[in-house]
Formats: sequence, C-alpha cells, structure tokens
Amino acid sequence: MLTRADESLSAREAVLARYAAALTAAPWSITPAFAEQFAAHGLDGDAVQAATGVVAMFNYLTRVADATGIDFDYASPLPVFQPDRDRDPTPRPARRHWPSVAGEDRTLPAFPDLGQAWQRWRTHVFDTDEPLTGRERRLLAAAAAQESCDRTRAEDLADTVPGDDRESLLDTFARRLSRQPWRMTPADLDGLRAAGYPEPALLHVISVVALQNAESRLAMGHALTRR
Amino acid sequence: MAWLTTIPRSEATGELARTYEAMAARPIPDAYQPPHGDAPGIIRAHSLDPELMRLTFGVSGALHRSTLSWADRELISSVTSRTNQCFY
Repeated sequence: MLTRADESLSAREAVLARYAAALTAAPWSITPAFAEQFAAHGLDGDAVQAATGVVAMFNYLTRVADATGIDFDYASPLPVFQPDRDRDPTPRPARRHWPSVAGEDRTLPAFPDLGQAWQRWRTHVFDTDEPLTGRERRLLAAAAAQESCDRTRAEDLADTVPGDDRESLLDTFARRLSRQPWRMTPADLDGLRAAGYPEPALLHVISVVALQNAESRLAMGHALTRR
Repeated sequence: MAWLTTIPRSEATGELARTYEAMAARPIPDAYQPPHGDAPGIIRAHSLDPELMRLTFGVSGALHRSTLSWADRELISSVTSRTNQCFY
C-alpha cells in the first residue's frame, strides 16, 4: 500500500508496513511467509504480536472516526492526508477460502494484561443488553465477521440473520463500515436515526462493527503468523 | 462538527467528567494534545458511554506498553489508517 515512502523505510520497517497493509485490507491473505520475513529481520514473536495488536486497534479507531465524522484535531507539520474515497475495497474470496481460527488463537498470549483489557472491552461491546439488544449486536458482528472473512466467528453467528427491514438496516450499515469505511457519510447514521435508534445506540452500533473488524484481524494476524 | 452527538469536556458531569479527568491524566506525547484544549475527537466520540471510553482506551494504553518502540507503533498505525483511507 505504501508507494514512494517505501524507499525511506528500512527493510525491517517495510516488512511491518506490508504486514499492516495486508492485515487491514485482506486479513485472509496473511501467509506463513510473513513469519519468515519477520524472523529474517529480527522481529520476535512478542514484536509480531504487538504489531498485530496495533493493526487491530487501528482497525477499530479508524472505523469509529469514519462513522462518527469527527474532525482531525491534532496539530501536524505534515501535509493533510486526502483520502481516496473512490478506492474500491479488496475483493473478498469465496467462503471456502476463509481462514478458521480457533478460540485459543484469538488472543495475544505475549501480553496477558492486554488480553484481560480486551476481554473486558469485548464483554461490554458484544454482551450487554443496553442500549442495543444482544440480537442486534450479534447481527452487526455477524456482518462484520463475514466482511472480514473470519470463518470461525461467522459460523458462530451464522444463525443470526436479518428478519425485518430494521434489522436489514443494521446489516447494511455493518457491511458498509466494514468493507468501505472511507465512504461513510452522515446519511448512514441518519438512516438508523430514522429507524428509531437513539444516539447512545448509534455509538454502540459503530463500536460493535469496529470491534469485530479489529478482533477478526487480531485473530487472523496472530494465528497465521504464529511459528 | 461530528455526525454523532458528543459531549465536550467542559459540559461533562458525573462519570463522564471523572473519565475525562482520568484520560487527561495519562502520559500522552505532545503530538497527541489537540490545540483546542478539549479531549481529542476520537475520545469524545465515545462520550455517550463513559465505560466504553474507559475500556476502549484501556486497551490502546495496554498496547503502548508492548515491546514495540513508539516509532514502530506509529509506522504500523499510520499504514493501517492510510490503508483504510482514514485521516485518523
């Protein structure tokens, strides 16, 4: 994904950059070749797990930023980044090619504190009953897991499918925010408001989708680079 | 102006005010201190649920204590944002 800037990166940094880009745009495409490249450049298992965690976290934060329409509010001497909103998402592979990642590989064992903090976070986002119901959360997570090609999580949630127009709205929102976060507009939230979702519920809609995208990338990144 | 309702630090009360206070007390590089003096937009985006705010940034804080250098984390987060065509 990097172009000219690649030239200013060390070989070690370029490997990290390529991994971040691949895990973000196409988490199903991560192969053991990355593990070999990490090892060749002195990146041990702890460093790779930390890199995976950062990619996952920023797949959450960028989706929150894109869906809530917050302003950029840090002072920076760098040129303002202009998103390419016409960019097409990476095509998703057929379901038979989606990776399976078992439960024990869906956390980062090198960082138990992080794992515990993540568990508390996911319990609040996925398992509480207010201001969204459990079923609404599962619908959103199912769509996000499918768009991330996360076979295990998608299969866990396979029996939760939209049953009416209101649920279809949630499904559509989750797929847009998962697949093309750079194309979110105020109208996406307005559609949910018109369906009766109050502001705190909208925050949770965004958070469920963003967290599932993050968690699917954490799981696939860790499982597919583990040596 | 964000598309989702947010509550600035100056209008926060109760649990939200306490959460903002705890967030502001964390050691944060100057580059992440917005010039407007309010909490950064990505934090304010979570202001309708202070517990979500606390839990979310508890995880990002734990990542800062990992074995990767600040420069490596910045590189990875920048590439992730750019790949997602996001300014953040």
